[in-house]
Amino acid sequence: MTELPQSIKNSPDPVPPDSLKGVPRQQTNPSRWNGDGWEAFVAELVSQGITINQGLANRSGYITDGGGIAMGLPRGVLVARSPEDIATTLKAAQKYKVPVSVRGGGLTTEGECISFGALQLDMRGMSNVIHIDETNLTVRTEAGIYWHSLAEALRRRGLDYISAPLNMTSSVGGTLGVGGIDINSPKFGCSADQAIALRVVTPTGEIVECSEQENTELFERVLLGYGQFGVITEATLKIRPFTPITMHYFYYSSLRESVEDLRFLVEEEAADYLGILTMLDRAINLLVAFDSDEKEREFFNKYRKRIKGHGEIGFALHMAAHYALHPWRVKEALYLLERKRSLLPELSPPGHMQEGKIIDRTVVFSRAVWKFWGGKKMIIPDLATSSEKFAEAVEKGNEVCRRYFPHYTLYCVGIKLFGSFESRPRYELSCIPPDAHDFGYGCEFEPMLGNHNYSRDHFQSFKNEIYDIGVDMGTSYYRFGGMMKGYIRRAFGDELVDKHLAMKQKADPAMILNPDVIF
Amino acid sequence: MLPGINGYEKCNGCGLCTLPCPIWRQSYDSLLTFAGRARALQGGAKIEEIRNSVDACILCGSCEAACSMGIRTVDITLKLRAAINKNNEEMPIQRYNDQALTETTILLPNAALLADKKTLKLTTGLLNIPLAKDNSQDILLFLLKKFEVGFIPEAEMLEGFLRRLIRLRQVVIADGLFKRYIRALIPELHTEILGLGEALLRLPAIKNALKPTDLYIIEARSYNMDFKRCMPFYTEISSQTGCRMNLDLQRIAIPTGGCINTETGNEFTPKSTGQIRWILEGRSFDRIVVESVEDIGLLKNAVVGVPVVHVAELAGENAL
Repeated sequence: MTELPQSIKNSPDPVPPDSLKGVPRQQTNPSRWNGDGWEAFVAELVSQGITINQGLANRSGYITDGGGIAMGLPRGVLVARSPEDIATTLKAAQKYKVPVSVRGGGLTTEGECISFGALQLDMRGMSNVIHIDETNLTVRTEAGIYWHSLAEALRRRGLDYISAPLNMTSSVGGTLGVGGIDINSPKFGCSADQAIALRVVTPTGEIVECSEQENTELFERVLLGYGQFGVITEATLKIRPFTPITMHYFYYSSLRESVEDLRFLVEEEAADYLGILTMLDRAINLLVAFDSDEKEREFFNKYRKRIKGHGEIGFALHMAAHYALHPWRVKEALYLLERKRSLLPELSPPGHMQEGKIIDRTVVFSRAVWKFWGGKKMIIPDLATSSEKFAEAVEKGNEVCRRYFPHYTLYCVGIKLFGSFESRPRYELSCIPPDAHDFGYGCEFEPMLGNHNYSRDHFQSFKNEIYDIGVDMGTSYYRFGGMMKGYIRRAFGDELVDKHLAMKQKADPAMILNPDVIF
Repeated sequence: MLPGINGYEKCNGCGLCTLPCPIWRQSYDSLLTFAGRARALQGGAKIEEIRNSVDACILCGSCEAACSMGIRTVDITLKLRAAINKNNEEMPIQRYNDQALTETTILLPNAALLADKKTLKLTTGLLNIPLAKDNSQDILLFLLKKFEVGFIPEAEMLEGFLRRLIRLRQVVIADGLFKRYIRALIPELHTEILGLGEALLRLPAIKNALKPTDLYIIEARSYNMDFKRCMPFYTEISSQTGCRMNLDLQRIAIPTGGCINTETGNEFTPKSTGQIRWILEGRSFDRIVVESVEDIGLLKNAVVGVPVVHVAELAGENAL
């Protein structure tokens, strides 16, 4: 193991060099900040016209994140209204060593956006669309905005964002900080790759414009940077003309076959949208969708016969035969039938369809996600791999799911890469697997918790087993921060982590911005 | 748990309800939204600590339409408002008992429609609903006012009134909040309960008069609080006529602010100007058609050079 420099060893909060050994297997919340300097910090901000809300009613809204497992009440909340306010706040935070946790839609699952007793910065106070350039197809927006609100502003002009998470309440800034994966990521890459320029407040309170041409290093650090190197307050993004999409479903009973077909279609660029959504590992659904009739025709002419998925009727017959031969699995069959009966209509609701095409994919999928997968608790460990490792990683993760939960879903996507790790440093220490070329792949393993009361230990053991697969296979993860940060050194190696830790310490001397996410 | 108020504990914080919330759009302050109230209560906040949030709500029902957990958000907000305002005023309900009923359809107007004699006459004429000599206006207006402060009468208190309604074939209700209340009490099998706009749009003469260049302003309360039933109906109207509507991407109606109640509102209550800006932004149209009488003035003030008409007027001057 690489010996750490003394400066890093003595730093306030480095990732423990022994990582998994240093972090208990049943890792839970980070410890609550002790509050030293809080009063003086607040007083200084008040003197500069910035109000920190310390009432219980305000703070309660931030007690947990989308995962609902990590819990931490902030000492105070600041709703961001301007870059200047944020800059003032971060300068004071450096001075008084007050941790600042930034939150947009709050959809992390490992407590990454939770403030454990310090300052919560709510970016949603900056949710205005600044300018839509219909000629050059770009939009400048405040970064706290929900993708849904941005989509609505764009739609009025017949435009759409390019790639965003299948969740309407993700924020633009938060998404750019972690990647942002959609079912069109095989075509357009992650959301972070749609950013043209950013306005960022650095951890020391400087307001900086950055892009691929200006302050490039900061631009590359902030994108996919998990909030370590600055707060994104504005973003200029690529956009495109709006098109309804035509969706087709192909059904499999073999994970490997479906994953191999996904890879094939992704790498052939055979469709505009691709993804796998499963019910257990029995009913596996390959989603294939198109922006244009031409692309759809080309798919059916050129690729349909080369994939193994069944149509709905063929698959129903296949499943009927399977369960006739395995009658002791009747409960599973009934679960699948009920799931199909309730879920499929939600994926083509009449109000969001036009001549057989989905006109609001994010609304349709987001509502379905929350209705069928959402709950007060969600755990979604994942693996992000190269093309070659993907099928094996999915199969191994599936075996873990089977052992821990009676019902679960796997969600698999491909991600187009734009350049190498050298040309796009943003990919370093991110969800993009280091050994991926041209395309990366991701699989989320999401148990259906229903009304079962599982213990935190059960959840954590499940996540650890999934993440151990990643360590063994040399993959990356989409969610590697927060409660799972103990895996960072194991997954990425000391050299890379130390490099980023040194950069972080230089950029954020008091290590106050988004503590316990990575470092 | 707050005594007598439940459902907020089901909120999982998904935030879908904040997306169409008028207060969210104008303040970006989550505590002022239903989700903020629910999370605050889950965290042990006292009702008094969310008073501003409760009073600022305009009861447009958009949060209820959006909720992925099926929470009756409007009921909860009304109960919170009642708890804050402690309003227990007695209601003059006895007048409803044993009144003779000859109509098969009845229109329950709101104050604005009653005040607009021309639109009222046109509406009742088109729907073929004679204005009854005793159309219970006084108690209706009393009820509507009380609803705003969270006073929800028990069904027993309105027994006579409901007994009248239940014998009818159809009840057309101008106020969306009141429609929601009545729909919850009267089985749909017996009596069809419609919003005013929906009832008028069922008339072919009106539906056929809508154009692709129209912006149709749905009365948000009536639509949002009856979302599952209304959304397919209005989607079909929009699809058949090509007109645009004041719907967001979730197909939830964006309120104009016509339903803003100055008595219960406070400094955080969203402004009509902001609501209308949100509705009009990026949209082109050459006529605005409104369901709610209150919206005529609001939109005429906001848009210059574009006619603003009530949906009943689409039937033409010689309709009666």
